[in-house]
Amino acid sequence: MKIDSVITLENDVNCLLLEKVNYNNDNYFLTVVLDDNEEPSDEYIVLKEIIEDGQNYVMRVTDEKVLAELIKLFTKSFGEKVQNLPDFEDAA
Amino acid sequence: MEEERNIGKLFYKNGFEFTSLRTLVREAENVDLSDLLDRLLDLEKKMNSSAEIKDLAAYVEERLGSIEKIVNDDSYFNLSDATVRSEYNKQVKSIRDKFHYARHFIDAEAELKQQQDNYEKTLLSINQRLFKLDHDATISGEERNEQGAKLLDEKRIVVKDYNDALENYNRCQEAYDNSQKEFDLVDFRNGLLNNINKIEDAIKKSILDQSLDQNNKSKMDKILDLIRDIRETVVYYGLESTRAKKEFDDLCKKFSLKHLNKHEEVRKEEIVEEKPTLNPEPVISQPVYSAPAQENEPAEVVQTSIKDWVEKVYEDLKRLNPDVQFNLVDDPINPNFDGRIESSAFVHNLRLPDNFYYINNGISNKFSSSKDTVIIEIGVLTEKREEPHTIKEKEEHVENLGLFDKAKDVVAKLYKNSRVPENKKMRVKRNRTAIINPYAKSLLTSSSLSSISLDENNDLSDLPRVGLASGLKQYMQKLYHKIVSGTDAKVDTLENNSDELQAGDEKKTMTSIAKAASDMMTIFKKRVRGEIKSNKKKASEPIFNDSLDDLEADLQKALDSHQANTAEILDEPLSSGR
Repeated sequence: MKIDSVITLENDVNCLLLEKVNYNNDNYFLTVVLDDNEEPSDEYIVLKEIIEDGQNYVMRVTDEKVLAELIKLFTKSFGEKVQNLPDFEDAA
Repeated sequence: MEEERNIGKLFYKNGFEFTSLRTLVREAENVDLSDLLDRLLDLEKKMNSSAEIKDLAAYVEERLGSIEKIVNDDSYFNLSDATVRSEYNKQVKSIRDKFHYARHFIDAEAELKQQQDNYEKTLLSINQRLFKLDHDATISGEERNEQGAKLLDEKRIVVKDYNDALENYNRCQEAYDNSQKEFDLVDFRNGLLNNINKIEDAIKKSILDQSLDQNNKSKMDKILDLIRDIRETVVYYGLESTRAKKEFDDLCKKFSLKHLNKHEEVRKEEIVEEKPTLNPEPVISQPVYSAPAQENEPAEVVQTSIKDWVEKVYEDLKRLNPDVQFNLVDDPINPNFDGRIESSAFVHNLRLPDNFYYINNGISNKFSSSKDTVIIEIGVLTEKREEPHTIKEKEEHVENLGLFDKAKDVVAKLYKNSRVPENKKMRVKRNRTAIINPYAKSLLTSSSLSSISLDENNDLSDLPRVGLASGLKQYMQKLYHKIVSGTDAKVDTLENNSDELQAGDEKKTMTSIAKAASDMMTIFKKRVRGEIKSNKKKASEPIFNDSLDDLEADLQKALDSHQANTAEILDEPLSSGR
């Protein structure tokens, strides 16, 4: 899985992957859940990537300690991305 | 046979050739070929997209640096046997040599970024000082000349530094890319692991200070922890890629597929089928994936409205599903859809036009196309659709929607208002690339960070909220200035570059960040739609104004010794080398 993609879960929920960090050798994604019209909703969650037998799975992260560390990493990554954003006219 | 040819063409278009049709027919009897193709393409992507060696290089270098620091700071280490020390140094050097091109590339990239930042800052400063010089009536002509010449020199230096850094970066990138062409992941990983193991052996045989630190750890313990980190990272490096390759090769072998090199030009002629020698009856009985069939379409019509596009999709569906009845309805029942098509077959059994995929109650190409995107409701076609019944059906449907909403509420409460349940491993059914503007993405990211931090269900006592809120606010302000740059749009909470955050203010700050992100999204959408225009001047305008040009003759004397190049001075701002 990689950022800037939309994953569809087995319960037909779509999530847009915004940021990715690696923590303790696992990949975690900051995501926004999409509504039925595939627009971003107000629901933001962190998903842990699990790969078993060549199949992708995800699990929602709720462990507070892990979440706290991930927030720090995501924020740092976000800051770096903002720094490197192109001019608005070039991005639009 | 026509359907078989289409799936065959699809395989060929994606770089797979059937080398033995008999084997394929035998193996694919109970296999959906479209699923097989999807799987192969997914594996191919995984094979080719393992983590860049640059990332591994940076990680290993950081840990290796930490090991070296501990060893170098330990005066006892030099009392170790000479062969042990020599072996340690040799293995460290060997690891660094493996990352030679990656390290140089990383360094060149960092240097380029620094020079770019320096150039931008210096250019801004030069422009400001030039402006002051031009409008300062108190200084003499001689002093203006002298100051002007110094500024020109300053600019030339940063331009040269940047160009040198860019040239170096391009050179290092080329060397790095070339080094990757012959790259063998398994050999590389095994070589690294061998180095790491030998370093561990040497360290264990060496003499080190055995005193314990405040965490009761000796230097040996710390070094072994670092070695373990490196080893684990190396072991898992590219593992997914290796596994994907194995599965990919096994599938190609099983179904007798030849994978064409991507750089080979794909032939346009028909697939040459093997002459049938056995029963000529078709063996493949499973439904075939939707075919592109572009060659049978009439000349493309420019879609001018969403309604036209929905009609086109309707026509495509009829063509791709000749056994299914369709009805195009004027208006969708759910106003959030762009159109409604009723079908006598279940939506998930339909073959879809290119770039379309299934969503709840319909189909869409929103995330797989960058233009002409549309979301279409797919309903059930009922045979009797006389006028008097239509209203009743709609009422029933609305009532059903009401029940549906109630059901959604119950489910939402069960899942604590989240559609993704906690502590449950969920399979990813599908993964598709999204086309998303980087600014929109940044705004969503900032909203997500503030939202998760504020969520009362998350007891994030380990989170340094003050620092986080302060940091996030600063990033938001940078983002904000980029979005509103050159316009009159404003978000008041972000205009204030206020002082440091006090403890206790973090919740309020996070809340205002969430609100500001929403306001900025509104501005962003308006800018994209052209409702807010930029009043920025073009970058190609010359830096120097007329009054400085008037001094050109005077400056020429001062600049002669520097062999100034006027064309270079009036160059446009440098572009990034990335």
